[in-house]
This record gives sequence, C-alpha cells and structure tokens, in this order.
Amino acid sequence: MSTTDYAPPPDRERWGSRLGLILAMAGNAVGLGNFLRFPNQAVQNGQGSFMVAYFISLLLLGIPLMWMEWGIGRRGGHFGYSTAPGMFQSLTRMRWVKYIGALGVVMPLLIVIYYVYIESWTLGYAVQSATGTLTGQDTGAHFNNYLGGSGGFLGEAGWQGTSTAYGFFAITIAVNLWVLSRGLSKGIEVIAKIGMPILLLCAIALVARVLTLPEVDGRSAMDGLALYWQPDWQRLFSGDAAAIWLAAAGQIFFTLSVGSGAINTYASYLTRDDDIVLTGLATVSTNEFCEVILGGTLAIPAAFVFLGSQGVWEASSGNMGLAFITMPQIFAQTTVFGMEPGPASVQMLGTLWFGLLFVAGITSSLALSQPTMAFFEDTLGFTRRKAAVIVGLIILLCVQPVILLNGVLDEIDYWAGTFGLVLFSTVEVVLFMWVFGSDRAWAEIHHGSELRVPRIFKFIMTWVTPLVLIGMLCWWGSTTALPILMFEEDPNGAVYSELSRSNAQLARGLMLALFAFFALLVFVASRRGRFRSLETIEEDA
Amino acid sequence: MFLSLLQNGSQLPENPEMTTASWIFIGAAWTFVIGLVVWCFVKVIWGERST
Repeated sequence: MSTTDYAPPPDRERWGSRLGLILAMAGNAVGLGNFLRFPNQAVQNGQGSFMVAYFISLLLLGIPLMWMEWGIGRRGGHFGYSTAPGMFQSLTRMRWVKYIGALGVVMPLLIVIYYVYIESWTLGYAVQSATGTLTGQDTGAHFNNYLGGSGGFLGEAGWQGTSTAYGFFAITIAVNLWVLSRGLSKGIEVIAKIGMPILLLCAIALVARVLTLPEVDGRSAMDGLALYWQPDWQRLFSGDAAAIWLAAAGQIFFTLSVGSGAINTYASYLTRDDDIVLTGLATVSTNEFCEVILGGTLAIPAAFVFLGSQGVWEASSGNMGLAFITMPQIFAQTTVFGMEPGPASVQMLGTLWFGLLFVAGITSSLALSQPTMAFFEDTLGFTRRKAAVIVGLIILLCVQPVILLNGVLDEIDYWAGTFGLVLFSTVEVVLFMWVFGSDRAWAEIHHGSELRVPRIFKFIMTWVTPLVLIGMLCWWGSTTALPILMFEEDPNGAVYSELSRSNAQLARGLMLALFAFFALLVFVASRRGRFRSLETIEEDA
Repeated sequence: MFLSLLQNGSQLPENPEMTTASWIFIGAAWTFVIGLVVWCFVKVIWGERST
C-alpha cells in the first residue's frame, strides 16, 4: 500500500535551493554549543576519553538520529505537516501520539526563550568590542555589570537590571522575528547564505591567530590542544566512564540539534523526491568541522597559552565565563598585525569573536523558533506575520523570569535543552523504527537518495540507537532523577537555596503550563480535523 | 542532566604535550572530519551539475 500518492498542499513553503537548505540546516546545528559548550565539556568530562566517546556517539547516535529526523520531517511535510504532532500522527494509528508530538513544538520554544537572551549578550559584546567599550580589563566585573549582577535582575540584593542588556535583547528578538516573518526562502535561507560564510571566515581568522600565538612561559597553543587530544582508552571503562559517555552523547544531541524538533520542521519543506541521505550528511559534516576543528582550536588552546592548565580548568567550569570573561582578557594580551596588545586588539579580536558567536546564535535561534511558527501557520491556519507576532509575544512573556530570576535559565536548559532532547529522540526513534517499522523507515530514508546508507546502519537505527537512548533514560531515572524531581538537588548536584528552589518551581510550572497550552491547541486542531492518522492516509491512498 | 558530573577539582595535566598518540588521534579525527566535508560537498555539487 503506497502512501506516496497523496498530494501535498500546493501553497506549501519550499527551500529556494539545495545549498540554501544545507547552509540553513548547518546554521541550525552550528551554534553557541560548537564554540562554547563543546570545549568546556571536553575539558571538564574526561578530555581525551571524552573525544573517543564523542566520535563513537556521533556514529551510533548522532548520524542515525539525524537521518531519522530528516525522514520523519520530509514524510510529514509530504502530508502537509511541519511539526511533530502531525508528523507523529501520520506514522501510526494511535491517535494519542500527537499529544506527545506537542513536545516537538514546546521544547524548541523553551530553548529559544533562553537562547535568544544569551544570543543578545553576544550582540551586545560584539557592539561593545567594535566601539571600544570593552577594554579587556576586569572583564569579570564588566560581565557582572552587563547582566546586572550574577543573580538575575531581581536578585537577593533587589533590582539590579540594566537597560544595556535589556536593550540588546529587544534588538535581538526583533531581528529574529523580522527574519521569521519574511518566511523560509526570503528570510531564514538568506540569513544562512550570508551568515554561514561570515561565521566560517571569522572562525578561520581566529583559529589562525590562536595557532600562531607565541609561547608564554613555555606554553604553546599546540600544547593546549594536547589537553583533550591525548587518547585515554582506560578511562572509558573506569568508574567514571558512565559520566564521560553521557556527557559525550549529550554534546552530540546538543550540537546536531537532534531531539528538538527543529530538524523535522526544516526537513518538512523538502519535496518528496529530494535527497536526504547525502544532504543530511553534508550538514552533519559541516557542523563537525565547525565544532571539532574550529571550536576545538579556539578558546581552550588560547586560554592555555595565557592562563595554563589551572586557568583553563577554572575558565571552563562555567559555560559563559570562558566566552565573556576569559576571552576578552586573552584578546587584551594578544598582538594583532604587529600592533601592541591592548584596546585595539580587544576591539579587533573581540568583534570577530562575539560577531562569530552572534551569527552562530541567530541561525540556531531562527531554526528553534520555526517549529512554533509552523505550528501556528499550518495547524491553526494563522498567517506568517500573525504567527511571528504570537511567537514574539510568547517569548517576550516567558523570557521575563529568565532575565529577572536567578536559576530559571539553568532549570529550563536542563529540562528542555538536555533531558528533553534525549526524551524526544527516544520517542521519535521508537515511533519511526519500531512502530512505523524498520523496513518502511529504511525505505522512507532512501526515497530519492543519492547515496546508499551502509546496511549496518539499519541494525544500528533499529536496535543500538533506541536501546542506548532507553538505557540513558533508565540510568538517569535510577541515579539522579529523584533528588532533582523532589527539589533536593539542582541539575548540577548542588543543594537549592530557599530562593533558588522557588525560582526552580516557577520555571517548572512555566514549562508545564506551556506544554499544557500546546497540548490543548493540538486538541483544538484535532477537533477541526487537521490531523490525519496513518489509517486515514492509507485509506485515502 | 549530564553536565558537571566530573567537576571535582582540576584533572588537567600541568604540562601537557602533544605525544605521538596525540598526533595520530588528532590527525585521524581531523582527516575524518575534513574528508567527510569535502566528500559530501563534492558529491552534492557533482549531483547538482549532473541534473
């Protein structure tokens, strides 16, 4: 029985070109995680052994999941669905799966709520670098002042908000919404075509400078690379092996943007006969180039030259300190084109560094916003402009606790940006490979493909990937879930203070409220007959 | 959920150096990544031209 005879809606948005699609998908994957999270994770979680686990996770989890998401997305798009509720419903006769699919709309929205705020810091710092306001002196205090203290605008010391941070956030969200309102080919694709080459040029220029840094106290940039390129096989089977494997797998999820619903939505704008095997692999390889080669050769080797091993360890222990505190200090000590280190070097290198991060951030935040945009457009019938306004209002409303209260960002990052990715991936792979069926899934992925996936990947996708994901969830459930769920420990294992516990409760309440809201919208759309189950699709065909 | 699981004091060597094993590891990894990028884009461009 064929399900390919169904004609998709004729007015459906499409990608303008294959290159645009690859750059937009790569832009989705290449984000702050490539340049900030990856080096931090590698240094903090086993160094050389992390890298071994990282590449194995890429082959067993990342690439298979990416192909599956492209397959689910393109198939969903063929039936007129751009988001997970409709896509999931078209895979099975079980009518309740569309409500689980609401996760694929809520999670990217939750991530983008805090992601855009961090992205706005990079814009603010890029502008401050370019205008010479960022000097490289006392960068810790500068960062603290920028954010209005370390505890959020409304911390224990009362109101500490700054108009600078808020102003750059307003600009960032306005730019995002303007691009989104222009649509797929005239908005997102144009930004990707302009932004990705700029990002690559900025990153290559910075890598060239880092690798040619003169030695400081006998420390070279190459020695800095040795911090995490010294393979350590023994630790992969030692007592802390589980944590190393999980950190590596978590980074693969984060960097490839699998499990967020964003890839599914982008893939839904392909036509039925478009290749996804080679195109998907091209986006993964572009992301890995930006992460392993560019991201891995920037911050850590530079920090090692000037600060040594202990300095690298301390700088990488907080996700943002390395980017916003340590790097400006390093720029202030670096010669550029024969100029003496100082304000001029901070101006030049800081603009490149924070500009690079902003471009990486915006291409990702656009991708993360698109599932919610598409949900309002396709499922509820809103116009693009109306959908952009609604998405903007939701983000503006929900970002307030993130900006104002300490710990809300970390809480949302943990549940949506880390745990949620694994949970949603597990649901997807079980639905696609087990419920829809591995033979049909394999055929779906290969429809129109320019490349045959090696047969071993069918076994990996059917058994290894889902069982590893289920194992990760079980490991989490048996070791760390209970104290976190009961508010006894925060996601980093520290004890909550009274204030941070109430902030965490607020954050979880917000996340649950958003999920309930979108599940209700799915229900409303379902009553209007917007979802067709696999049974109906097959009957129509 | 998987963050900060091992953050119990510095585990980094004081004086790291690129050993033969490091050069082999980084060489293999970089070759794999760069090779994959080049191969994919050559295939994509080749496919575009032939259609």
